[in-house]
Amino acid sequence: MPENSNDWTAVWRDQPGVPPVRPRASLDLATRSEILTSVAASIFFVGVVGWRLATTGQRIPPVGFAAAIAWALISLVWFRARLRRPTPDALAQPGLEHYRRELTQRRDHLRNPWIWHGPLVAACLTLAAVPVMRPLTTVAPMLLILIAWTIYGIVNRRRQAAAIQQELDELPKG
Amino acid sequence: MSANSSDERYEEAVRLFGSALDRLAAGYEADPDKRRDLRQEIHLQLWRSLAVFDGRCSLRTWTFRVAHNTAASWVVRERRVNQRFVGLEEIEHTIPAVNLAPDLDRARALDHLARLMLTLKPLDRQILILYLEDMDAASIAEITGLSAANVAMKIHRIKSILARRFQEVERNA
Repeated sequence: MPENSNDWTAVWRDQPGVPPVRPRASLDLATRSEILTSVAASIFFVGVVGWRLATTGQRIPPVGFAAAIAWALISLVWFRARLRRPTPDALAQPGLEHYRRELTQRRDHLRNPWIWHGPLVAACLTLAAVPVMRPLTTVAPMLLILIAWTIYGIVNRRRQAAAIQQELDELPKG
Repeated sequence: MSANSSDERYEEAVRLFGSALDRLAAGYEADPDKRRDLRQEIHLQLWRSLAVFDGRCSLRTWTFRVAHNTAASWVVRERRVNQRFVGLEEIEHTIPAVNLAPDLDRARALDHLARLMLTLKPLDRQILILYLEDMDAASIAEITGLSAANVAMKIHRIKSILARRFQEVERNA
């Protein structure tokens, strides 16, 4: 059993070895994959449903789905910086600076779920607003679930953003 | 810098600090499968970064900065909702008493150490890991960007926390 801090150092350094690794393709950042998944899902949704409703002669589908596509494009432009990989030397900054930047980015992302999450919601609302497919009473449960899910998601992300803000406030100055 | 030179730098960094990087990954990720992914990520980012290594700091500082920053990003990314990390200041006096046997073997001691480490905020975790790698306060300050005085204070807390763990053993023996 370690008897002083030097012994703890020995315990730490005497860990059993592990097989060597080689560099390979990186895993995607959660932020990037969240944005891309949301945008891709909305485009797919718009494509399939838009095609299905193309022959109805309604005005709502083209307008609604055009709005969803525009929103998706805005998301991509808005978050373009977060979709890029960091430059090779970005990770060689001092730890404090890097961690502060990382937390700030994550906080800003979590504070703006309506931007990157919006296209899918817009597409769903457009579908629900088209009376030709089904009467409003049949669509109501889906609409309620969608609204509850959206509100839960936004509140949850806001709470996470607040926790990150607190951590940012507690970071030392240097 | 040429690709060959970059590869040589990477090989050198792995030769000198490879095992420390493996231990570092263990300090940031408990799950063995995810830890392997984190190690891959660290090595990939290190290899990419060394293509632009400009000697502004030593290879050791560069390597540990890239490794810790990659791991810190990993922690931010993998963080679960409501998961809260604590600072050294918070646990210094509140660390729970653990009923450790006096003949506790190294494997279990390491397990206790790793569990303690995984509860810490990433920046404090960096300091603890670098301290356990036998680095002095000045080197840790250069890697983390904290002031030397701040690092020295945190090392003092780390020693106190680790010693308190030992005192628990004495008391329980």
